[in-house]
Amino acid sequence: MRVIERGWVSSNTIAFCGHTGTDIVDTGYSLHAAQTVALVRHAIGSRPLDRMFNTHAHADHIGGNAALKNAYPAARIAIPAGDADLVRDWDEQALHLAPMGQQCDRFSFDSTWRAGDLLTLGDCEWRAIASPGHDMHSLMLWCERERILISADALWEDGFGILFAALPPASVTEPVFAAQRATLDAIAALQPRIVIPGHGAPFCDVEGALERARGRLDYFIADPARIARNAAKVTLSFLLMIEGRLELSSLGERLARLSLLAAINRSVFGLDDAQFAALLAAELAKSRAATCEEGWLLAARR
Amino acid sequence: MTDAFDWPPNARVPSPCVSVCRMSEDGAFCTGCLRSIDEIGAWSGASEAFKREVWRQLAQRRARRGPADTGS
Repeated sequence: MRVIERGWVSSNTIAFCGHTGTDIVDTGYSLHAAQTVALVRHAIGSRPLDRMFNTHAHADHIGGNAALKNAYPAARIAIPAGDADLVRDWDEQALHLAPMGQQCDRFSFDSTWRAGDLLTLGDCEWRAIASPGHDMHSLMLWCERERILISADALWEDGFGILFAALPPASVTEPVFAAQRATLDAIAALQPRIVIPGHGAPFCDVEGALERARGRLDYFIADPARIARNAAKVTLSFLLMIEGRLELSSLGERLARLSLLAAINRSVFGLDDAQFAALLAAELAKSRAATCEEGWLLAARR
Repeated sequence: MTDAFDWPPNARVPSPCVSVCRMSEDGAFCTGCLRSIDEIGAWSGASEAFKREVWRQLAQRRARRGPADTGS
């Protein structure tokens, strides 16, 4: 098993070379797809790619599917059963593409997978586990023998992915919070030795990660507007990472065209477009995710 | 700018990825982090010593090639 780890735009890709097949889990963001193909080729060598599994249908996890299918035409794509309709219809709203200003190369899938399925990946048996919360249809993979969990965006070393179903215009947040809590409890019950998250390095201090995640969840539950504020920042941060820089003078208009941000502004901030953009830009600068220079918001670089 | 050698000896070395993730035309290096495909592919399973060595080389590559692509 090889973990191909990149940053916060493209998800990790996990490659398995087994006696019965060569498979990968998640494929990164479309803009990075050419490099993803090169990295997968580097990981699997001269073997043909047999199967791709996506943990959930978000642009940063499925974006390399089309390019990899092109590079390996015999490879078969499997997506979570709960995502079948929106991927088949390429529902840009439900896939969070249009609402967040994200792009994703369209693909067709060959099959679906669901909680309870047993997969042989890299000569080990992995069980698919439901992990509603960040995405209500998302699946994790659990290898009992090695006690390794592929958690996708249900658990990171520090936090978890945006709880999309709890964001405006949705007004009922409790079931989403409850689902995320149940997912964290399910992870705790497995007692993983290693967690391979959807973003960032694999980690062993699972108890510490669960404690941080539960703390984060409690912080959101105490004031649900926090989750919308956080999602607005994350959305802008993602956009900035993709584009490298954003012009401040037109940022208000730009963000107003993204329906997720417009809905968050309406329900939580109530600012005019320019004020809202300035506030988010200032927040990003404060958290050192960006700097403002000569009319541009620039992605922070080391 | 974080320099290659700033981390305490036992600290985990951070990934150089800046989410540009596009290779140069000749395929030699990522235009964002200046790593080769070998270095990016090996990163997750590599030793801390390897990672420090990569950072050391990145500083040299950056000095030779000018600032990294901003992705724009």
